[in-house]
Amino acid sequence: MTFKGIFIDDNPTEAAYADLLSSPGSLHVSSEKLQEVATLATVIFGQKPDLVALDFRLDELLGTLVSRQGYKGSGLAQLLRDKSSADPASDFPIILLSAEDKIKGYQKDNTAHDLFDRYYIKSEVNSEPSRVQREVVALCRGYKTLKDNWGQLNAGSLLGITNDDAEMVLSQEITSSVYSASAPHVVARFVLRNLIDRSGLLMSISDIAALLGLASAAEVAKLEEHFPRNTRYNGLFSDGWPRWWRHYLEAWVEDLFSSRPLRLTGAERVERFNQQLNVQLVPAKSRWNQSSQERFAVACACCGQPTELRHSVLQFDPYVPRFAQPGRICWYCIHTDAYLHPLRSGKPLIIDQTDMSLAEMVKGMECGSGDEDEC
Amino acid sequence: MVMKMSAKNKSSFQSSQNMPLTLPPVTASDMASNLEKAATILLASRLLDNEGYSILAQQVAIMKRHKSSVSWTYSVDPDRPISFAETVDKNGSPVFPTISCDIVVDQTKPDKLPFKTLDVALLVVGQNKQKICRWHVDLANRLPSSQSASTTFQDGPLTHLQYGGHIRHGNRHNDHPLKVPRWLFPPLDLILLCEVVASNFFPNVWEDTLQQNPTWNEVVSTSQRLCYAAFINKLHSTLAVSNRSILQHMCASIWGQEAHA
Repeated sequence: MTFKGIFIDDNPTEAAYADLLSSPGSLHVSSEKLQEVATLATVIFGQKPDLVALDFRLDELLGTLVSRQGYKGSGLAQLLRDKSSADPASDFPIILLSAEDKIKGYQKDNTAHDLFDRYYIKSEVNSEPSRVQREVVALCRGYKTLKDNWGQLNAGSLLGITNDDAEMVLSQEITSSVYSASAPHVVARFVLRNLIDRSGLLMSISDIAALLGLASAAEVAKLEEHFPRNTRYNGLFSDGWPRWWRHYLEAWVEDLFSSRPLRLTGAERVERFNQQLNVQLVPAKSRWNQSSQERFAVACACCGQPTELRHSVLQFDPYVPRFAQPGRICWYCIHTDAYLHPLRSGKPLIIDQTDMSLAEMVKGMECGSGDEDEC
Repeated sequence: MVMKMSAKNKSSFQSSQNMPLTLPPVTASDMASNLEKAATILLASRLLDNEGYSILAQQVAIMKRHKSSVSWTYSVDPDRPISFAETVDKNGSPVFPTISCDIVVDQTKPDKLPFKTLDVALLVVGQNKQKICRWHVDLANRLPSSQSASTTFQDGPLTHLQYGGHIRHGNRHNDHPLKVPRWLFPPLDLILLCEVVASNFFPNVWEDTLQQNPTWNEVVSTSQRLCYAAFINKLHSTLAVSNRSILQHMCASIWGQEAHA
């Protein structure tokens, strides 16, 4: 099936991004001209698209519109979401596609965040077209699944879990969010923000590298054939964002090591893998002291590298669901102020006040120091 | 890394080679900050839920008002205790550790035990809130004396660990029939009791997460200094004395009189 997408940009010369988003046989994106906002919303909705991509600033090159008719992408998105809420069977993913400076404007506009499933900087569409195409097609497929089953959603089926795992995975937070949702985009937002984007029930390849004490995603790939069956997540949006079930991985590692992984250093974990599975893996190194003798636990929320708890601080995030892990920022990213310009999200990370004084101390320390005991 | 002691604490701390230990007092705002940190860390570790966090947060807000005072108080009502996450007993039945406390701190006399009131309790309940077992650490009760002007105390050590104790609103006939033994035990505050609960009921989380967290260790360390210094000083001063045992020296009737002198 070829999904149908619509791209709106006030600058006609940017229409080429419609082609960049398209992938033959999967998604065809066409451009639509700027119009008065309510009219355009009706036109878009009437075409029953599978995806809508909007520039954030639609009010800079107005064409035939006058200045008072100008609007941002968020204004159009709100109208589209209103229509979807009234007609869930016609819902569709809405993504933001803008230049970097305009994305920063969106990041500051908290009221707009709930409207978009994803945002992409135009430069990343240029540099990583395959990844972006894979993700937007996954959004289309995910929404189709939601719409096809609307009114009789099954949370377990949506997440691709077995009956045995349902009790462990399907907390009230998840089931109530799925079953009380007013439209597919509400379910999609919940799954993307709380399951796909957060370490918790599901793990990204960076999270797995941290859990296993491995140096990189490439090292994780060497082990994947040994993962238990059903470890790979195959639920909603899984084709766009590879994820794995934490409970399978942790049980597998505990069984292999006869110990919880966090009791062992990265070097010790790799030694056991190499011995027991006849592989040649490379252990992670702490970004703080370059040692593999650390008990790596999480992927840094800033740099994504394996990080030990004792050289990290808690990230402030008031929205962490109970089934997810709060983020942590490694001391190196604190020391270098990298957390203020994270590569992954672009938006500055905030240190939880619990660890604010610790973070200030880290900024004043020499990198790699601070491990000596002191009375 | 062990968190380096702040300059304020470091300047007053004497090594254990030179007793008695003399440590700077913990102000109300210090303790409020530590309670807040402990609550956040326990919430992030999924040992506490939002209600437990909010109970602690209420106490934090009250204590912050007292700012730099070295005499302060906080309490967690036994009717609305802080409940930890579910765990299981040896039969696989769900159990929930809950804690409550009533603490009045007075650090105006640095060489004395810094508590006017101390009662911290661990009550383990089942799925339906039925009591399974209870322990508490407290100060020996002062008893009214019509015979003399001096204060008399209940039997046993001044600071002690005791099984059972009276559960509020419960029928006293249902209290455990034995009030003894009372074990000589150092004072505990809420943070130290949280660590006891974590280490015993959630040892994996305690080892993998809390122990590795420098902020948690710093917070516990402050509570240790508050609770243990006077107790350790008393222990140390009586070790070299052979005419009486430590238990005799630290029983309420002797140490209690000294503490309130």
